[in-house]
Amino acid sequence: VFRLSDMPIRRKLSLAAMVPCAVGLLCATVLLVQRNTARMQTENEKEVSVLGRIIADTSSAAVAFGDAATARESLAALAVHPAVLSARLESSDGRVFADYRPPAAGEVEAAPIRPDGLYNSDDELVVFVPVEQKGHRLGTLIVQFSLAGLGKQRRQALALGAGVLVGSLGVAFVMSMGIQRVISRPILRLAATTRRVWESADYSVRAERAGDDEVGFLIDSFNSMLGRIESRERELAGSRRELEQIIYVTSHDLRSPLVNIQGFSVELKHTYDDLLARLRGDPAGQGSDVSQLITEELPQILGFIQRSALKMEKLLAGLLRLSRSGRTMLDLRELDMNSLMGNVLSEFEFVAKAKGISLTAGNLSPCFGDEVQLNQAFSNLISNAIKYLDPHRRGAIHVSGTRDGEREVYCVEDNGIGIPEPHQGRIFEVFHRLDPDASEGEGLGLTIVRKSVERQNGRIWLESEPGKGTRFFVAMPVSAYRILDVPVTEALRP
Amino acid sequence: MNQGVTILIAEDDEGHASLIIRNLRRAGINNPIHHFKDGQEIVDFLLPNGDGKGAESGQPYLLLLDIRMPKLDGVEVLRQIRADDALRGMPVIMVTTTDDPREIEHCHQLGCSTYVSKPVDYEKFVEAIRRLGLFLMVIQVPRIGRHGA
Repeated sequence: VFRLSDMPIRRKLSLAAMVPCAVGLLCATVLLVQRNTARMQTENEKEVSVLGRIIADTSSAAVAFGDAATARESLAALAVHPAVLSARLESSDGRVFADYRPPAAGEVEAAPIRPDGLYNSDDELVVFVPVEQKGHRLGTLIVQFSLAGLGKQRRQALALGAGVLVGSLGVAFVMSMGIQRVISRPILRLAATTRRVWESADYSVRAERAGDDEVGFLIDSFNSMLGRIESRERELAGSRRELEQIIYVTSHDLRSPLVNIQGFSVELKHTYDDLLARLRGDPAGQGSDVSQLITEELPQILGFIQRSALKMEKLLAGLLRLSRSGRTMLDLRELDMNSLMGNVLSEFEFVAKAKGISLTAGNLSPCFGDEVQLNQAFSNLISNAIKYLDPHRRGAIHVSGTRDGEREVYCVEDNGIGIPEPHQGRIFEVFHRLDPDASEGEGLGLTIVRKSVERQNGRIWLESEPGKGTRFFVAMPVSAYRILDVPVTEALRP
Repeated sequence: MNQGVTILIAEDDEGHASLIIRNLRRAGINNPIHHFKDGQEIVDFLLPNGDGKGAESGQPYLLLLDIRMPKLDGVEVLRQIRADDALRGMPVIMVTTTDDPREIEHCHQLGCSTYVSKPVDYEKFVEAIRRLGLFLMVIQVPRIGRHGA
């Protein structure tokens, strides 16, 4: 079943342009031809009447005097009109006084006498004109005209009309194709883009914007929608990665102290059994020294159990903190980074002065993010940089910014101990710590920083050379819903 | 068990190391035991590019290796040991809290002798050590002898 709504949009647009155009042109042409032929007919009739009148007048004297030869001459003047088929003068008593036939005319049936006036038949026009002199009726002039010429003219007008119709329809079609393309191309391209997104599930694809009209607006909305989906996808991937890490952590980091608690509980049981055996004077307990068991063994075992329980609590608190950091509402807006970084650096002013660290920032361009979250992220990075400075040289930490396309890349650079290559990719992982003995903390700071930056549609990565220093890069969008490219460091990918 | 075999433990958790040693001793294994706090320490001890403490030439060793350690993890230590001609035959028992099958499979591919999950069933654990120690005694390999000792 044919349905207009199933038709391709291009054909629909052509149809929308062509149908009203064709109807309008057809009406105009028909009307024009109609009017033209009507006018030709009246003009012809007027001409014929005038001619009849003139001949009747010129021949009235000849009729009055009975001069047939002169009357015939008058009639012969009709030869100037090519359509004349026959002419005759009848006197009032019905006698043919004189007649005329053009040489080329064949047999023409004489029209019977009728009252004065014009008479149209299919192919003939007959005119009856009174012949009078001084108010006296002498007879009637009867002229027969052929209408063949008129018909030919009418056909010509019709052909011309048809020609104009076809020609203007052709021009209209070409023009409608052009306009149709301007309208349909962005729609078709958008359709192709949606299909590509659907097929490849690649949400980084964007539809090309063509103009500032409703379709342009549609494409903009579509692109922002894709942007949102892309950022959700990324968020989801981040959450998934984090979840996997947390599962790994619970299977190892949390289990590790549990193993101690379990194992040392058994040790406690053994020690208890030994002590009991000694108390009862059991020979099995003779080997062990009671005071050694009580002063060394028991405190050691209890110490392990207590430290393990504390460690578990600390890890659980850390997991809660991580989970909370992902739940705060973001307030994304354009941020004055110079003032933000000023606030961050002022927090560390005291420590920096005390330790003789140079802590500086260059001019920073604004970006789009959450003020509180970004402040925390940079605080964390700078606190880390201070923590891992090289004690053998004067510490220097500098924050700078550069524009990279649609993003602003901020760099926190230090001249600290650096991060060995195998750890560079894993440093953002939950509870990952380089050297647990060398520093405090549970290994969550950078995990939370990355999470926070990514929630703000930003990216974080690092470059480091052990012994020379580390550079943390934070790339932030400069406008809303701009999704940043994947950072150059593949090591950051899990 | 062969008294000549030295047991090396690479374990970052002091408690775990202490538990392993206590249980080995309780089971009557009196071989010398060395404890290393991370992967870097054990590699420095075993491999020639270490800091010179060095493993003794001709001495049979058995290694208990934790996977998740700071600095250098157990998988990397195992990889380096298996890549070294002199150390290749050394029995290595992975002792770890990870029960991720992929991780276990990976360690087997790299050539660990046995894999033990924590919390440890010490009876089975001691049995495994005895078996490997016995095996070591019977065939008398490997001996670390880089200079033809």
